[in-house]
Amino acid sequence: MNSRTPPAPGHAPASAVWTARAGAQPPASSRAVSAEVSPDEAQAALQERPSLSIRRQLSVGFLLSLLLTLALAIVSMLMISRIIAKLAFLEAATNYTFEIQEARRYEKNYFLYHTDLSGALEHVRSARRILDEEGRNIAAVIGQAGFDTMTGHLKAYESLLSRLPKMDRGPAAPRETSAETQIEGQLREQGAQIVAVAEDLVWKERNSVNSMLAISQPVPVAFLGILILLMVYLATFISKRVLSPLNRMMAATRRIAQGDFTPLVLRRKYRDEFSELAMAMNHMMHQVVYRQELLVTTHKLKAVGTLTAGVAHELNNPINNIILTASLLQEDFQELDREKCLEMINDLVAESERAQKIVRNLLDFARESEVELESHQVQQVVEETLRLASNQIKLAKVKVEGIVEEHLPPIYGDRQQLEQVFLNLVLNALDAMPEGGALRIKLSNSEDREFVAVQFEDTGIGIPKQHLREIFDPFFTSKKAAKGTGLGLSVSLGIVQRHGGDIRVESEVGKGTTFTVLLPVAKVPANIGNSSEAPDS
Amino acid sequence: MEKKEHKEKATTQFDDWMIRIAFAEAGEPEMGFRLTGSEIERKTRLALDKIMVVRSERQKAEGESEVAANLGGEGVAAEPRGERLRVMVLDDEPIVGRRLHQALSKQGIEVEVFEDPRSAIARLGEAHFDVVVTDFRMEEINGVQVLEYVTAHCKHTRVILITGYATVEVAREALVKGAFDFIAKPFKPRDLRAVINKAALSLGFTTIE
Ligand SMILES: Nc1ncnc2c1ncn2[C@@H]1O[C@H](COP(=O)(O)OP(=O)(O)O)[C@@H](O)[C@H]1O
Ligand SMILES: [Mg+2]
Repeated sequence: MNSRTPPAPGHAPASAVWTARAGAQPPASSRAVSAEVSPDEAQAALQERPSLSIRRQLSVGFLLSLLLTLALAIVSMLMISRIIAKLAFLEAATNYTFEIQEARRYEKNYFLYHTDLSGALEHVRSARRILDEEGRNIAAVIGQAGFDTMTGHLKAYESLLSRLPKMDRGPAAPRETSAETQIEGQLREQGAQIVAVAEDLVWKERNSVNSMLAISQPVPVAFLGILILLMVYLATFISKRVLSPLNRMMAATRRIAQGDFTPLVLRRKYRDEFSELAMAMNHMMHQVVYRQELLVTTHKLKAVGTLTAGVAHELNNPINNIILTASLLQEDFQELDREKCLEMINDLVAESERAQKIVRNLLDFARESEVELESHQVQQVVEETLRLASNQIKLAKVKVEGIVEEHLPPIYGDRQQLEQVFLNLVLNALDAMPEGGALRIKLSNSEDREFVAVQFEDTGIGIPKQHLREIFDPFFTSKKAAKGTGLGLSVSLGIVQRHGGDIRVESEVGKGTTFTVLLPVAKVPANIGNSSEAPDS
Repeated sequence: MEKKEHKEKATTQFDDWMIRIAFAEAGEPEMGFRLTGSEIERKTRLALDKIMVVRSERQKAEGESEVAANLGGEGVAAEPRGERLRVMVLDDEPIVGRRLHQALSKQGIEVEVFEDPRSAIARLGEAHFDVVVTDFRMEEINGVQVLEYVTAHCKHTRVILITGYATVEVAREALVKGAFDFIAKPFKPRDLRAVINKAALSLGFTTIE
């Protein structure tokens, strides 16, 4: 069943011999690759919005409700005082009508039973007093002109009345004189008019009071309604503008804690305190990412340092061959035949190329480059890594064996970073096998075919149970000061998680350790760049 | 003129290693680059003391083996000292073998070249070699193991180790175990010839150059 593919090209004898194999599926987690929104863009977008702070909005809202309440109080007070004034006036008007009616009663008695007129005059006088006192109020209701005619009528009535007693009358019931009859007619007319006007006044006032009451009743209700609406608006506003972004921020922090550093983008049109918070958080994430990259670089430099020792050593062989060959050519140039010369020159060329190849791998790895997400065959990346570490592997006397499942889908990621991850796992495995041993690298597809699993199985010292949790912590190392930095696994996990994958570990002390790197299978590349939304949106 | 210079250089390589060993034992980073002033002097004196100790140990070991050889007569190895110097070159780099064969045989040295330490050791059991030039780092069997075999079985054979990447510990081990000298990669044919010459002289050959 197992078929062998030819070993990796190049001089590295340590590169694994891959064995094709089907089956053996590791578990898989399901984390999506997160979309990359550049931090600067997000920050600029947050800053560009027009500024409208929640504080200002809240204060405006509360000020508005305060003003409303104040207005309601003032309006009600005004109305009530108006009504009180009206009521007072209505009373006066009623009194006035009453006085006039009394006066007319005396007047009637005077004509019918020839009683004394003084009663009538007295009532007219008190009516005059009322008019004098309430003149302004009355004028306000019926207008100055109406008031003037009213006073005119009253004056005329009064003067008519006062003219009556001047006429002589006999003790026995004398017949009315014609003058008297004339005055009587005028009096009747005037009196009727005065009563009509007074009654009209009362009626009008009553109406006005009624209508005022009718108005003043719904006013507080209306105010209350507006206030309630305002309160509802404020409440929804607070929950919408304060609580919901708060919830989203909470979701965002949860997401950040899981290592997703996609910058926050708020969906509001204006800038407020939450935009500031979002900007602060974006800045924080930017810094975290920056520090993380710094760690990645630090670790990479350390790895390059480790590899350089091996490369320097490996480089010695071709250089030695070149120097030996070139010196001999120089020494024996005269004696050597053409064929021998050619053979030596060919050796020179081949060895130079070998030296170039040894250095190029490391240079490729060491070169600083932008993160470039591309689809890769895992096998190639692993082979590249093994070539890179070939000297270390040789020095450590470790046998590397590769098992690869057929038809592995490509994965999506940054080649250099993935090499860094694999390299660290290989170097760790070598460190764990100081007396030599075997490193088995198995590439397979996860059960759901969402992930490619890369397993590094060593026969080293293993990891004690109590350390299994800690090994991924930055700066956790069990190695001597100069050897270990404790950055390898934490940096590797960071890289793999940013690729949407995960690293698992199983270990048995004294038997060996297996690290499994799960990398998501590449879908259509266009999808992956912008597929996922932030989980909080 | 030039040749003499090279001879000196070849001789000092040994001392070079001894100094490194001494420094390492003094607890200093290799070669003590960071030392200054009087400290350098102190450390260097210390280092030189160590060198003397290791040297005398080595000479003592050589003397003992000489005595043993004189008394014991037949070792495993056949007839020491032929007419011509016999040299075995053991290196897993085929080009090294080819070139050294070329460079030494034109000097009138009998050269046998091996790439595989096993067959080399097997051959050591069959034939006598005056000098074994072996690479330090090889798969399966390394230079020190070859050295151990030679010191155990071939009393009159000098071992020259070719090193590319030797730690101080390994160097000390090799020197104490009786390597004749080191030669560091990369080297020129005449560097090796100088060291072989030295070995030949110590075996009683007249100079080969
Ligand atoms: N394959 C392994 N076998 C045994 N222990 C391991 C292995 N890989 C990692 N470890 C443990 O995990 C620790 C952290 O590893 P790492 O983060 O790479 O830092 P470093 O290699 O610099 O110590 C190591 O010091 C070691 O104790
Ligand atoms: Mg490590």
